[in-house]
Amino acid sequence: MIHRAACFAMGTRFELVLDDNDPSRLGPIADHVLEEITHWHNRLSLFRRDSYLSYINANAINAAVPLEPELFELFSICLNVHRQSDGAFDPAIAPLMTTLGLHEGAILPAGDQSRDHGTHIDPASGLPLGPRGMAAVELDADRRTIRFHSPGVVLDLGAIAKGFAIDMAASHLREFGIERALVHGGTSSIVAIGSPPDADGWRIAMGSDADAPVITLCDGALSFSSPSGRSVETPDGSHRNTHIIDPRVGAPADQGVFAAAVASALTGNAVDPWPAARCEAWSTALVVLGSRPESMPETLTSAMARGSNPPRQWSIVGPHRPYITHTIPPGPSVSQGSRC
Amino acid sequence: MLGTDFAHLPAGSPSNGRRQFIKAAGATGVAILALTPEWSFAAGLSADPINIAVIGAGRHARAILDELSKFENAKVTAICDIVPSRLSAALRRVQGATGYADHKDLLAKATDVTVVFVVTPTHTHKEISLDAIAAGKHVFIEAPMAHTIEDCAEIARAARSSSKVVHVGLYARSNPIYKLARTFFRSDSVRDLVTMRAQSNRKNEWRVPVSDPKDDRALNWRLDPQVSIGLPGEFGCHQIDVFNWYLGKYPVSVSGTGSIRLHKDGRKVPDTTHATFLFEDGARLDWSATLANSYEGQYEVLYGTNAAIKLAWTAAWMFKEADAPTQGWEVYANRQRFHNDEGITLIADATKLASQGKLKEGVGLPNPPVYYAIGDFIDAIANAKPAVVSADEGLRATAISILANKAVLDGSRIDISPDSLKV
Repeated sequence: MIHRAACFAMGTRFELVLDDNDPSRLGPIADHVLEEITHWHNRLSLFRRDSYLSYINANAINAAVPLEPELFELFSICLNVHRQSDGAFDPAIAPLMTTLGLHEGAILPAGDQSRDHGTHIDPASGLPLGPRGMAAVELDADRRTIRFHSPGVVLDLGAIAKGFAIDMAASHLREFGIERALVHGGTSSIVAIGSPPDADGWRIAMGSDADAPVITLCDGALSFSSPSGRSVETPDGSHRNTHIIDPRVGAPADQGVFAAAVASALTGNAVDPWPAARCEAWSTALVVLGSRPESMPETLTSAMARGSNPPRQWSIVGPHRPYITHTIPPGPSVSQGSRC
Repeated sequence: MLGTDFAHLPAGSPSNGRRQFIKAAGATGVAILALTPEWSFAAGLSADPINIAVIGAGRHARAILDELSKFENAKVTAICDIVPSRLSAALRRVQGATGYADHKDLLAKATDVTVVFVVTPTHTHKEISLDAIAAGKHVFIEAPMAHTIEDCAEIARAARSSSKVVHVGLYARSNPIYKLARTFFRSDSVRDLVTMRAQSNRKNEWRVPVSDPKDDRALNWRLDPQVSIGLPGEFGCHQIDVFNWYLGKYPVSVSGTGSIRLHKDGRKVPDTTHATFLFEDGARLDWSATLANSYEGQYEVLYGTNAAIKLAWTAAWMFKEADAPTQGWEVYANRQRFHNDEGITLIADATKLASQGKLKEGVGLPNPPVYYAIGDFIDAIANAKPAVVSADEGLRATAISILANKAVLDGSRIDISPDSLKV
């Protein structure tokens, strides 16, 4: 019997679809997992003054700030993908996002002249002066701390926080012995544990186009990014800024990518406990880069679409390719909750 | 009025850093808390760590551990929980701490510990707190203080005989926004009290998942009628204390009702409860809680003849009557729309922030409420001050909430004798 539960967090709706031979235990487990997601929402929000992310943003410029093990892992992923993508993924550019009108209500450190970001912005490019973004972030593995080396650094985890929360949710589900589950955040960040009853995987359409590829996901993660998802008109009304920014130039990503999806290989928890976070970081990077770089880990599958209107051209590379089709494959019926 | 500073607290400072406990030269073994929001002040000063034990490793203990990490010299050296998976999870989060399955073992062996946080199931507070007090520790007891009035009284008696700080974790009294709102409540801004309302709504089963059935009794104590004090006890205790504190007096009676609206799984503890508290002057507090709907979450409202104040733990607002006198600071006040009403956001350091054009940056609490409770506790230890929330006060809030739970279960009205609120 399928059990569904949901909560609002990180500006979207998280949903759990659980199945177990003993359905009576699913309610408490779902509550526990949703509380975990809410916990990370409270802890990682850029829009709450009392979040730990706000605490880091306010203090890491002055001294190393301690991190719990999970947060250290999250920031390590951020730093690794930042380096592997040659700066295309950068979650430390909140002031730039705010300048572009994409972060109304964000909590940026202020009230202290040394943190007045306006004084650190290059008027020509609109980018912070000196080392910026993740390039100015130091992680100390021995002390498990984070430190900023530029006053222009403000972390805004955005979608990767969603992936991280879903990874944490999946980790807890596995701890409770759940073998069949789908967890998603706003349908764009997904982790599948096992497969639904009588099916070989959870079938997930990559977008709303009628001919969008469908991936059959079993024990894996999927993230979907599209610059068309959200945009803000500039104050003068001359153009719109999309929410995926090329941090290297400080402007909206403009490589003609309609959407990029990244799926993790069929790995177990022991191989990569953070597949959704990693997929989120890479799907954002791919929209910025416009093509898959050689530095992208081979264990990740990428699916990229171009074109402003369907039918779009999809380019699919990676170990998940055999599980991706352009039509929903015939086979056992899939319960309503198994398709996002 | 809005320019009220939070005295020693860093609430208005966006650059607030980890607090330092600094052992002053000449101090006789007493750590002095430097209540500075600035990192730079403490840099380079030597300081001895304060060794802390956290007994209980559930979700709330995790929140306490998270906030303790902001206090630079607060060093958690021991953690205790009877459930191995919880203990190991907590130990992963705290580098260098030693784990214990039995609090008595911890108190006997962790001789470096001077401060103990009791964050265990409510009905276990008495034994652990008494043992910790007897061992000469400073003790922070999570609220509710215990599951019977007799147990509360026993803890309060032990606290009185102790030379150490015994602090009960009723968070409102340490919350900077609540302190600020209280100054308004006690002024002409609100004027005469009309009535009061509070709720604590959420949607979940209140049942902890267990991997091993033998852990069920230990983990699902909230649903065990033998020891649970229900929603009035676990949620209401913190909220009832807000009114006790704001009014400076205690209700004289409570009546209640309860039922199971959603979670019809055989439980005996109501998932939806209402209680009405009456004060001797006729003022009334209507309180409700449910596990079946989360709308509007948790808040308290005090209605006065000039304004209503709404408190929601990390934020507070004042809703003025049209005929209330206008005050100068209202010109630059930050406002928030609530359907047909407009609330003035209560902000610390508002005058200063407004002069800098940064009023909006002061909206909301800079740290979770538990941070300020921990700060008050450590401050009392470091500066040999009385606890901000004494065991006597903890007894009163807890006893009232225990009586409210009894009224809910019986569907009755119970007189609250002043004697029942005394040690």
